[in-house]
Amino acid sequence: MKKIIGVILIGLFSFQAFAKGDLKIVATTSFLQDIAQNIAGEHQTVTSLLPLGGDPHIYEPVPQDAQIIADADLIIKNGLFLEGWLNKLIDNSGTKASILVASKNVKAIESVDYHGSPDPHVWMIPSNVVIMCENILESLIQVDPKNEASYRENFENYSKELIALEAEIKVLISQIPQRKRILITTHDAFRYYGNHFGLQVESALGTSTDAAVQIGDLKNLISVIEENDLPAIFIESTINPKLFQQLAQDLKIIIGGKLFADSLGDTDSGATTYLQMLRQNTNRIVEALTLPPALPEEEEEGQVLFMFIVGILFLGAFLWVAATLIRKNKAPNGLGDYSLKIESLTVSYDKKTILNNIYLDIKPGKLYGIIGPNGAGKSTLFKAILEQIKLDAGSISLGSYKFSEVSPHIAYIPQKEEVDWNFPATVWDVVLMGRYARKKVFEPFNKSDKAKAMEALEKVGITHLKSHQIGELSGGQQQRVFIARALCQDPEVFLMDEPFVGVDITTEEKIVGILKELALSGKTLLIIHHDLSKVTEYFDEVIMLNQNIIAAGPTEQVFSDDSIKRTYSSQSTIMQEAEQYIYK
Amino acid sequence: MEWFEVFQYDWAIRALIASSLVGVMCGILGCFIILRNMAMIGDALSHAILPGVVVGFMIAGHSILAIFTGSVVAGLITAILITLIQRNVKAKEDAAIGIVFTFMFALGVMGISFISRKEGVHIDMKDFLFGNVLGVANQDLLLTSLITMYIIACVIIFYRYFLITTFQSVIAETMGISSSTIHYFLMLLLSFAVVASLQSVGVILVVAMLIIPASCAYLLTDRLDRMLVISGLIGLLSTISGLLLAIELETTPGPAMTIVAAFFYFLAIFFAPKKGLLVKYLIRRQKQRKIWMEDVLKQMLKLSEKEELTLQTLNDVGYIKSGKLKSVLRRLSRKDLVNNGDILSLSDEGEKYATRLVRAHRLWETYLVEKLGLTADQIHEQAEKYEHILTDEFLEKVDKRLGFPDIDPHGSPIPPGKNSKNRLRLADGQIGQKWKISIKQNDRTVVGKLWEWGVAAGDVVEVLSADSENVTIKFKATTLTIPKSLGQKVIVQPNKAE
Repeated sequence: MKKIIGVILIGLFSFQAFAKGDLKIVATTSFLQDIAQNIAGEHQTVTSLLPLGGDPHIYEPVPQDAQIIADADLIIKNGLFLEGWLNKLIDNSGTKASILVASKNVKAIESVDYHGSPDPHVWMIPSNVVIMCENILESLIQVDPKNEASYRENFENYSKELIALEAEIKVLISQIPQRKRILITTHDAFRYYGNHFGLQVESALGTSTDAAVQIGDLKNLISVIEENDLPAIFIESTINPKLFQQLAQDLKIIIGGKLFADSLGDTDSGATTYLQMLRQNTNRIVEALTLPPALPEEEEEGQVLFMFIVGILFLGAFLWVAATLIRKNKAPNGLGDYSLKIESLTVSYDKKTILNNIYLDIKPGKLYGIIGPNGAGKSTLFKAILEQIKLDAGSISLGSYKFSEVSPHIAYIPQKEEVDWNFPATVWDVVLMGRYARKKVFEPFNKSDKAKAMEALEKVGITHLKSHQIGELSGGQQQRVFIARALCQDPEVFLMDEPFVGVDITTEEKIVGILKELALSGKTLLIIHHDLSKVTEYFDEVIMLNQNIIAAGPTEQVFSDDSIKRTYSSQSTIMQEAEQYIYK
Repeated sequence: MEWFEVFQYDWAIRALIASSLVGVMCGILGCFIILRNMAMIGDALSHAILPGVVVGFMIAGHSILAIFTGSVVAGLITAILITLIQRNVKAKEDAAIGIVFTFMFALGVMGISFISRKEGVHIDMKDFLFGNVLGVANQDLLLTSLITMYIIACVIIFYRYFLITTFQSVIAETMGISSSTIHYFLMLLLSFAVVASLQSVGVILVVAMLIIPASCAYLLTDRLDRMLVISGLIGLLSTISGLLLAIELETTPGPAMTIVAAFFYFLAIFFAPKKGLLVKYLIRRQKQRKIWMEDVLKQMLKLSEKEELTLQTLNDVGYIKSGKLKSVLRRLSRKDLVNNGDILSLSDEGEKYATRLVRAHRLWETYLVEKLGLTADQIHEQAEKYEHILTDEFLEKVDKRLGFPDIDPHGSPIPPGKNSKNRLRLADGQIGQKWKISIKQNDRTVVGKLWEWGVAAGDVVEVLSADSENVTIKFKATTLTIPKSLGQKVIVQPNKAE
C-alpha cells in the first residue's frame, strides 16, 4: 500500500513537462506553442499549457498548470483578454518567468459583442503572426542570448512561409463567387480572417464561446443563409456542434466541415501545425462555399434503434413496478379459525430493548386494550405485528399465516399526529383507500367498492363531510375518517393506536359503540389506550405493558391498583439506567 | 406581432413543443415532489446526473441516447445512495442529499476536465446548467415526447399507489404496497424528466419547473387529481409564455420561463380561492364588520332600557368612532335590524338578535366561572370574543351542561333560550329526588326564605312529596312544606354526589 502511494506521489511531483534545452518555455495554447517552436528551433522546447482541443476562453486550470508556470523561465501568452484565467494563475504561482504578450504591436479590432474590448483572435491572419514572431524572437534572445543567430535565421525562414501562406489564401478565397463570400461559424473567431480576406463573417456565439445562443442571433443567421442561398455553414473544433447540425438539417444545407481556431487539431486532423490549420480552414471554406447546395443525409436507422432502447427502458421500469405490486394479491379469502399469537417477541432499537419476551394470544370477538406508560413499547408492538420493524427474536402469527400473507385482512389506524392534514385529499379519497387492500393491481373501483365506502361513512356519521378536504375537519371527525377507512377495508383484525386522543366525547362514544359491535361480530380488536378511567368501561381484556407484559387477562380480574402501579412504576427506569452501564 | 413571424422557423416550433412538454411533465411530477417534501431531492438529482452525461459523452460523443442512458443511470445511483444513507446511517436527511449530490456533481466536473484534456473535445457546462432551448434537435424532441407520454401514462395507471404512498406510507406498507418501490419508480421518472428538461431549461432551472407550478396548484385546490391537472396546465402556460417573452425581449428562454412561473405563484399566493391572502383578508374584514355590528346592537339593547336612543347617546358610549358608527348603523338598517332615524330603535328582529348575543355572553361567562374556575373579573374579555362565534347549537349544549342557569356570575339575568324552560326548580322535582340548592338565586324573596329556613346555598334537599299546592322537602333532619309558587322560584342543580 505504501509503495502505491509513493509511486503516485512521485508521479504527481516529478511531472516532466520540460525536455530538450535548458530553458523552460511555456505557451498558453497549442498554436502559440507551434509558432514559438518554429522560432526556438532545436535549441529549446516550447510546451503548451492547454491540451489540444482545449478552449482558451473558458479553460479551467489544473494543479499541474500552476506547477508548470511556477517553474517556467518564459511564458508566452496571446493577450487581448483571451486567457482570462491566466493572470491569477501567474500571480499565485510565484513564478519568476518573464511574460511575453505575443500580440504586442498587432493592430486589434474591437470585439463585436463586448464593446470596448478587443477581439483576441489576431493570429488568424499570417501577417499578424509575423509580428507575433518578432515579439517571440526578441524574448527568446533576451532569455537565451547565446543562440541569437540561430533564432534570427529561424524567424526569417518562418516569416517567409507565413507570407507565402497569406498570398495563397488570397488566391483561394477569390475563387468563391462574390455573393457567397459569407462565413457562418459557431463563434466569432474569424473576424480578422474575414476582414482581411474579404469574407463577411456571421456567428451564433459572440467572440467568446462563453455565451448562450440568443434568439436574435439565431434569427439573424437564418435570414442571412436564406437570403444568400448559402450552401454551407461551419462548426469549430472546440464547440458543441448540435445546434448547427440541426440548423443545417432544417435549412437543407451542409456542414462545411470543422474549422480550427482556438486550438490545433490532433494527429489525425490534418491541422497539427499553425500553417496546416490555416491552410485547411481555407480549403474547407472555399470547397464548401463553391459547391452547389446539396441535401444532407437523413439518420433514419439511428432513430429506430433509439426508440427501441428507450422503449425497453420504459417497459422494464413499468413491469418492475407492476410485478412488485402484484405480489401482494395472493392473500386467501379469510383467515379461517385463527387467533393472533405472539411468541417470545423481543424488539430493540439502537441496543435499547423496547419489548422483552412478549407472549400473547389475542382471540377474536373481544375488545383488547393495551395500556402502559410512554416508551412502554405499545406502538412498537403494533409495528412488530405489521412487520414494519425487525424482530430480535420471536414470532407473530395469525392462525397458520404470517402478516404479509394476509395483510388485506388487517387494518391499522395510526395516531392522528402522524398524518399530513394539509394533504390535498378529501374524506372520500381517504375512506376509499381502505379498498386498495382489496383490489387487484389495475382493477378499477366498482359500484360495490363505492357502496362499501358510503356504508362506512354512514356508520361513523360523516356522510355530509364526504367532499371536504381532511384538514377542514375537527379532531373527532378526522378520527372518524380513519375508522371509516378501516371499516371500508372490511378486515378481520383492527389495530388502533390511541383512537381517542384529541377526540370529542360524542365521537368517543360513537367509536366505542362501533368497536363493541365489531367485537360482537367476531373481529379481533386491539386498541392502545391511555385514559385509565375508561379501561373497565371499554375493554373486555386488558394488556398491561411496560417492555414486559405486567399483566394480561379479563379486565375485571387483571386491572387493579396494584397492577397499574407496577405498570407505571419506575422499575423500568432503573432497568434502563442499568442497561446504560452495560453499554458504556 | 413578432411571434408569428418567428414561428415560421423550425427551430422556434421545436423550442415551443419541447418547452410545453417539459412544462407539462415537470408540473405533474412536481406535485408528488412537493407533497413528499422532496424538493431538495429534485435539485440534487438534476445536478447529480452530470457524471452520467460525461460517461455517455465519452462512449458515444454528442449522442442523445448515450447521454440519456448515462443520466438515467446516474440519477438512479444518486437516488439509491441518498435513500440508503437516510435509512441506514445516522445522518440528517438533507445532509445525506447534500453529500451525495455534490459528490456526483464533482465526479462530473472532474470528468469534464479529464475529457477536455485527453480527447480534445469538450462539453459545455453552460449548456448543462442553463439549457439551450434553441438548440433542440429532432431527436431531443422525440425523446422528450416519449418521456412525457410515459410519465403521464404511469401517473394515471399507478395513481392510486402514488396517492397512498405519498399520503401515508405506513398504511400503504401495511396493505402490502411497497412504498420503496414506488419511491424508486418516482425517482426514475424524475431522472427522465430532468434529462428531458436539460436541453430546454438546464439543471438549475428544472427545479423551478418541478416546484413552482406544483406549489401554485397546491394553493389552488385541495384534491390531488385536480392538483395534477392544474399543475400540468400552469407548467404548460409558464413555459410557453416564458418562451414567447424571451423571443419578444430577445433573451435566454430558461430564466424567462422560471420568472413567469414564479409570477403565477405570486398571483396564487394572493388570489387563490381558499388559501389566498386576499380571501383571508376579506374573511377577516367580514368578521370584523360582523363584530362591530353585533357590538352596536348590544349597546343599543342595553341603552334602550334606560333612555331614548339617538346617534349622540350611542356615540357617547365611545365604543367605536362616530364615522364607523354611522356606517355600521346604515348596514344594520339595511338588514332591518335597526330603525334608523333621529331616534334610533331596534326592530323586533334586532332585539331578538341582540338578546341572543347577551345570552351568549352571559352563558359563556357562567361557564367560565362554574366549569373552569375563573373568577368573575377574569371572564368579561373572553366572553366578549366568544359571543360572536358560538353557535346556537353549542350554546344549548353549554346551557344544558350548566343546568339552565338564569343569572350570570355578575348577577345579571341570562335571557332564556330554546330549552330554558328546563331550568330546574325545586317544584319540578320528582318524589325521592335529591337537589342541591343553587348558589345563585335571582329572586330576593327566595333568598330571604331560604335564610329563614336555615338552608344555605349548596345544601342538599330531598323532595318528599309534591302536589298542586305544596312541595314537601326534607333537609337534614327537618321536613319543610313550602308553597308550590315559591318552590317554582327556587333554583336548584342536580346533586352530583349522588
